[in-house]
Amino acid sequence: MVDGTKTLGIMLFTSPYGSQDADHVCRIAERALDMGYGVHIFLYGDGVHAQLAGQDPKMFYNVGAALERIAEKGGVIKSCVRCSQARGYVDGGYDEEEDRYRSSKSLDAVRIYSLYGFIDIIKDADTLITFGSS
Amino acid sequence: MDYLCMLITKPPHSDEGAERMCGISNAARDRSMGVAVYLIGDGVLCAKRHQHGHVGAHIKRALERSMSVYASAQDLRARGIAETQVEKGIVITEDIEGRFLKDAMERASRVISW
Repeated sequence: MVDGTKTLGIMLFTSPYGSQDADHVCRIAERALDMGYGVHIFLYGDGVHAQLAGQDPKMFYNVGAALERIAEKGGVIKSCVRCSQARGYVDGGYDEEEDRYRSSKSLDAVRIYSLYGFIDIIKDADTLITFGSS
Repeated sequence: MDYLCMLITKPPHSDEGAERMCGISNAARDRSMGVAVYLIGDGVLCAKRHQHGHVGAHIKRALERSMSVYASAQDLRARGIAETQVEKGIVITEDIEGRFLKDAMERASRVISW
């Protein structure tokens, strides 16, 4: 167990189920939270598909359920609004009270956010790892 | 000593990810950096013994040069790779995430992932 002052930043660039990238993100994030680290995840590009509500894989690790567990444990998960809008996840404007863009298709655990969320993670994370970029 | 932590999710041979790991980790060692390589997902295929090509040779060389190489036990099992098929010196661990995080968060000056 650590003192919880360090934060792990994780970027995910690929969609779940097509590869194991999203599984790795979730497993590392959950383990980091269990060890007492802070975790910030940003979904970018096709990575925003990880936020889809109602995922129900029969044979694979359930990425949606894992993201919900991560948020319950205190992890912060944001997804890019432009990438989300392009893929049909945004169906409302920016909600100031909730500090997120509205979406009926996304998990509540994931906050659709501007690209500044991405920059904040780059600035604030003690360690940053990326999945899905080559 | 500067310490480089590398997380590899790519298999050898199908793209350049594992090859890059070879080049960079060797170069880092040449510059007297400590290096640890973590193999997860398809990255565990880099751990197999008797491979042709650069990756297998590099893993052997990395171990000879005191780099630490870890492989996920769960991901090896998922791919049907027995412990006896893994290059000697590679540490097989059930808690690859925990080991990686301890290194990446507390020890490493740089972390690279593929």
